[in-house]
Amino acid sequence: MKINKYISVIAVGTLLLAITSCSSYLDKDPENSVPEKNVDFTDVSNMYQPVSGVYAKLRTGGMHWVIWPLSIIRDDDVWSGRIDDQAILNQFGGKTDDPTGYNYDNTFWGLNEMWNQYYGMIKVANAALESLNNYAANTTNSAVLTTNKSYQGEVRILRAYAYWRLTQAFGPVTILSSNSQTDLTRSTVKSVYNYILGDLQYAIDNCPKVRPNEMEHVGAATAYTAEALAAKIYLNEGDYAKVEDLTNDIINSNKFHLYPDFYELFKIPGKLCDESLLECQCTDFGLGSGDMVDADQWFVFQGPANDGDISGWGFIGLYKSFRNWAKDRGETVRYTTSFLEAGTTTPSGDVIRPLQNPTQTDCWNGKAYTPKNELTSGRTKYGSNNNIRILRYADVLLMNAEAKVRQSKNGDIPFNLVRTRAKMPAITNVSVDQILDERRMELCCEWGERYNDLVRTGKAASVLGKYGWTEAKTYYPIPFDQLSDNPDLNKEPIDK
Amino acid sequence: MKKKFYLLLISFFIIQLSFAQNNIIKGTVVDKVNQPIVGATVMVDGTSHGSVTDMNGEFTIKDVSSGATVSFSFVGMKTKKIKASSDMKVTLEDDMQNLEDIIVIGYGSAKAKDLTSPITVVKSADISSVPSTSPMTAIQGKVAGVNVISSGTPGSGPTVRIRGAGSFANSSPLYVVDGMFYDDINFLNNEDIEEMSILKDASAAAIYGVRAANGVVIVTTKKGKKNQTAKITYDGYVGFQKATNVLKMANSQQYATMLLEANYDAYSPIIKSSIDKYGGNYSGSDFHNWAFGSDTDWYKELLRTAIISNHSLGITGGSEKATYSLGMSYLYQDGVMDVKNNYKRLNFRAALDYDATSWLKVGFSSVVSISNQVLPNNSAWQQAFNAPGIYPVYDANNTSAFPNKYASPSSVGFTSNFYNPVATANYFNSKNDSHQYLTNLYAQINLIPEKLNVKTSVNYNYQSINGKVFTPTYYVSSWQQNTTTSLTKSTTSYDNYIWDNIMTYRDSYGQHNFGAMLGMSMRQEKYRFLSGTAVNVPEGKEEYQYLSQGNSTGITLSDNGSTYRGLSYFARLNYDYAGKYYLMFTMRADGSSKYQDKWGYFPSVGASWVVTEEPFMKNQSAIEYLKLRASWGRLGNDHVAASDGFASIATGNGSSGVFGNTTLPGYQNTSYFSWLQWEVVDEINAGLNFSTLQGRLNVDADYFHRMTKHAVISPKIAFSNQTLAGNYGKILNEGFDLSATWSDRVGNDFKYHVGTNISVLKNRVKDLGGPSIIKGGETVNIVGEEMNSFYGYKVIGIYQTAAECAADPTAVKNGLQPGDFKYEDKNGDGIVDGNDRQALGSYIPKFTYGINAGFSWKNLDFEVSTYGQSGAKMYNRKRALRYAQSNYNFDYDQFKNRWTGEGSTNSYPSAAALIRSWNISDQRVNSFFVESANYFRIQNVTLGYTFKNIKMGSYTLPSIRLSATADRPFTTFSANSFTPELSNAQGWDTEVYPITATYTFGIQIQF
Repeated sequence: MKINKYISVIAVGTLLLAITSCSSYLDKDPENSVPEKNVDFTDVSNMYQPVSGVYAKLRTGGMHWVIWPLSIIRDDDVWSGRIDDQAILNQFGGKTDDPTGYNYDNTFWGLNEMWNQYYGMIKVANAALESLNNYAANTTNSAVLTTNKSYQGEVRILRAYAYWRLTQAFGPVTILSSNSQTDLTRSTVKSVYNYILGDLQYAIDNCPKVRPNEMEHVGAATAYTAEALAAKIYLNEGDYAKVEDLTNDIINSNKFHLYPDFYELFKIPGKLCDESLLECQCTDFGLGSGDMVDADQWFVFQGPANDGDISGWGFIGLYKSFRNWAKDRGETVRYTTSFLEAGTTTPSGDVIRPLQNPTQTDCWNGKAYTPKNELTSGRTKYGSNNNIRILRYADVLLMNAEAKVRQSKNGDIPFNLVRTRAKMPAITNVSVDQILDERRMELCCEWGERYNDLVRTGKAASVLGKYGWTEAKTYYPIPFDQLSDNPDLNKEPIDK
Repeated sequence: MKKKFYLLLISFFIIQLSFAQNNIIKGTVVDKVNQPIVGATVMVDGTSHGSVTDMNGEFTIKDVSSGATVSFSFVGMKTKKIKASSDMKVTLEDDMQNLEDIIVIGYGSAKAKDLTSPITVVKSADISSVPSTSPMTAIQGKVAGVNVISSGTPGSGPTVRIRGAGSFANSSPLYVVDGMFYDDINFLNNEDIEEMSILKDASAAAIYGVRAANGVVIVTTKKGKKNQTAKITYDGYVGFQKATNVLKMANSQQYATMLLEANYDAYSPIIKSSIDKYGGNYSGSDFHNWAFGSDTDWYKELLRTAIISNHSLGITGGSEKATYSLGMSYLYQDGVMDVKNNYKRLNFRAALDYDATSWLKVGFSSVVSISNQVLPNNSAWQQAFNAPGIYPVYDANNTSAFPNKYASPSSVGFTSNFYNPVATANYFNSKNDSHQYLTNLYAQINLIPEKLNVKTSVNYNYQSINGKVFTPTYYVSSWQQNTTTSLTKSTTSYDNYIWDNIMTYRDSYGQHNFGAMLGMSMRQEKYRFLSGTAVNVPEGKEEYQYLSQGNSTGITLSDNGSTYRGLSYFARLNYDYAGKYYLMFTMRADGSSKYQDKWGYFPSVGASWVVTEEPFMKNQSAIEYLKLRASWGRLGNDHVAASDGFASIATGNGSSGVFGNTTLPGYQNTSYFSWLQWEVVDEINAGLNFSTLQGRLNVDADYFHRMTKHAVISPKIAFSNQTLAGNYGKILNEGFDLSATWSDRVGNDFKYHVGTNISVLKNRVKDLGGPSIIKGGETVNIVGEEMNSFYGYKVIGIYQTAAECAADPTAVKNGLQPGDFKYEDKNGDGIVDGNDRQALGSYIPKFTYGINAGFSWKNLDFEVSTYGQSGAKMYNRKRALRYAQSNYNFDYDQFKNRWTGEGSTNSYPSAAALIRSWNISDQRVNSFFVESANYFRIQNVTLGYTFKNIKMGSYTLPSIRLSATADRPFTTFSANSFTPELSNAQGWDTEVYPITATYTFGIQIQF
């Protein structure tokens, strides 16, 4: 009996020791996760993947719906469209009946979102350039190296685009040369412009001189996209000679043409037409069900308050005063295209119901409207399968005309191309003011061009002053959360 | 290896031993008024021989060697030791201090008087009277320092916090059920439990090392007693549950008043449309007098009185060598939502302990729990809160509606944030079937009788949950419809084992008493999850609901799992001198496969001094008993993730650009990643146990200071919405627990007791690893403030006049009007902006208290318990949701107290203000929405009457007890809420589920 007792204790003890010696017991890999495989930088067939990732970020981040109203409500033509939701947007812009506009609130979440989304795009671009450098370091093939440079150029165009939007919104912003940068002090607008222009020059030198719809990756940015964007920066800086050079280069390529039907330009037939310099592309793969790769709520946000599929959240309103101005000018196709009015039937036959809530806008952004009969059968989401237009040739022509007129040359030819397409009579010896009016109409509801024009020409104080605008209101304030999380942003911007 | 072990176990069972015959002893055990004590334990010292008294208080033990000492013990009585004789009459004295009680501690047991740390024991009688589906709900308000937040949904358990919240991640305690580790004990029936030991301080809990940071609850299921004839008990109750404190909402007319006062032009079309469609009258010029044909009270439509019942049957007993306990119970609970939703649970348990030889004891215990939960669609409550009464439940004119003619909110012009809540509740079909098996096997070898033993035990738990959600086709409105059915099925399983090996040694040399425990434990926790969804599964019978019946294309699957292993070595040494001075030391080394840094070490020390044992205390009678205690220990919390962020690059459509009509594969390489480590808690405890007035007054008091280090918190990555967690935080919980009981007897028949327990808690964030503030989605953490504080503007009044607005730069800048909130200019710079936001309190109560009282007179007994808390705040997110949809319904309080003109109120905004972003938006969190979470509740009132020794022919039924219980009959609080007990740990009140009061009638029969 005693013997048994000790035998059993020894048996248990041995077992214990056996377990203890199994020190590998704790070496257990986590479930359901395969260790990261490093990117194979020698496999150049995948070299476009990081570039494709930046385009994705333009779509998923750069098109966040809250960026849209913040980009376009600061002029006297457009407002958020609703007072009962995101009401704070109404104090950010000019109100037709109220001198208390331009009351920015840096705690508004949308400002923070805009900041983070554009910087998110910049970070993805920075990482993509790093990847491309790794591919370049692994090859000596000159053809691959040339392609590599052209890809780097594409990434730089998109990065420049993000900085351009950031300066439009916030003025001086931080240049993030690397994703691990710890000094987050902002740079002056001039410095950011130079940084952008550096990126764009690289693209002009290395990207193909073709239309985006001629690119191997259809719709990718080209050297001409870079030139158009650079022209916009020089226009803001008042360097009209440069604007003229860059826009001339685009025009003289004879590759770009205004799409004849202004109404369809913004709809499915106008996707990646010969007028397009940059679009954010979306697709439903031509199928009536299954995945869609789109810019989330960007279109739905601007959908009219309506019954059925041609409806959305009802944001983005175009003021009656602006519509009357357009009507007085004798606008026809640009009127019906730009204005989606309540209680009307569109040229495509979609009925927009009469206004039910008088506090809402009675006119929405027609350029974001995709008719029911152009949707892929089976799709009901407002605007599905359409692309978001970012840069187009009409803007280039108008910039060209303005640059010429400002240098005391004649700008009639490019100017009247735009007029004629819109079924408007030609004008001879066009003036700067006429060009600015043309821009107001042609580019309404397109990325805040009107506000940018008013600010760069010094007209903002006289046009928007009565609603509360002052020069101090040129830019949005730095978002509160950014200031409190990143104290460097409180420092004075530097030249860098 | 395992196989060998089982062989060994079996061989233990086979070996049998015989004893030499000896004397027989018999006797009776009575209390001081000569009433027999039923169920008293009689043990022969130095042996495992014993018995339990029967219903006449009598006992018989065979084989007692002459000269042996026999000890007599019973709950609430002082243990007596008497020399064995053939006929013994023993009188036990009342013991109000329970010093001799054996308390279950980690990997062992100890007498209450030998403890150096605060451990509270909850006995089965304390919880069996409460009609709750989860045992932890039943201890709410009964234990100082244990905060229980109960939940309203049938079958879901409460949130439990021991001594505050010490982690941003997870603050729920460890439950150890018969040796197995659990995160909750919702699968147990109240009747399954013999007792629970709540280890509150670090010196008691540190033996559980990396699992112990949030406190430990050791649960022992019911066991038999030796030499006891079979005791058969039926315990059951039936009753009903009724929603209480249902928040009063605005009716149609009040709703219309609010909206039309706010903006007549914007909202009158909707109001008039309701009257046009569903009757009423808007001919009057004053809209305050308009009448409404539709005035739906959505909560009334959704609520019902629901039944609850529980039946349990138990048998316990024992022979000379074996004890056993068997039980089964069945619980049924209907939910208070007026659709099919309920919770059923069938539990079986068995425990067997057997003295195989004089030196070997083996045993087995098992709990099987089978439950079925038919879930309500809780989003209906939220929709009912938001939906105004101006559209009805049914509308025969809603021609597209099917299968039922539910009214659509679009009929009055509402858009997609409004629903028909009754339709939402009905068009839903979801249930969970759960099976859980807990088994425990052990063998204990006594190497030196009463001194040295070795115990090995294997604990195994398996739980599987089969979930099903079926969505039928229906149409209510264009945004409340489903055109194709969908079916989701999921299987979740937990497969855990623990193998413990423990050696215990106890010895004495004169006045010096030693104890030592050495142990090792290995464990594995395996979790698996598999889920699939198919569309177009045929409607009709439940038998059709298989994924394979749906469309074969478009089936989506998800599969996940985790496996963690742990290996631990631990030791406990204790020493005492003459029962006067006590010292205890524990140490645990914990290895975990989860983390990069695998090993952690968790020591503790404790000491106590029984002052009343000193000679200088012997000559006084004022203080009966006084013990001073102090301890320190270190604990870990491994309920935090092993890492954060993604190490791999992002791919897929979300990271791929579109080119033409398709995507080109892309990737984004902005990965961010951090390894994490468990959190560490250091705790100091100092306390005393005190007894006076002939033991009638007993006081336990403890001060504690718990500092969590390496708390995991997630600051934002610069210029990003993303966060990256790190072990950056330090959190302090400091406080005081006190419990006091007075119990006495008046005459022979009347006994009564009154008790109270209070806890005071101070919680502070001490460090965030650099930043002084880290904002989360719901609350913020600020160094020096309570953790998870609400953050926003402090309302100091309402702008009363236009002149007042004109004189205030903030009002001018923001275009404010009379009726708007006036915020405090915290930094005094003359203008209110983002810099003026401040911490507005947190959901952690500063003070909790419970009062319990009861009496028994002859066969009548009565108990009442109450619970309350104060110092906690909650954020009324339900009201604040108006930022997203301005014309949601209002609660009545907002209507009744609204600002209507100069001087009407200085605390409530006008109706118009409620739709302006200055007053209400996610950017303008303000103190108006932060409400007091204080409450007081009568937890439980029970009245019982016991019939004893009922003669039924030749059979005598020992007892029948009838009882009536009101559980949570009364709760009072000031917040405009359904309940101050929130499921959101940070105190965001999105709670829309009413609390229920339960009234039951119970019967307990002993056969």
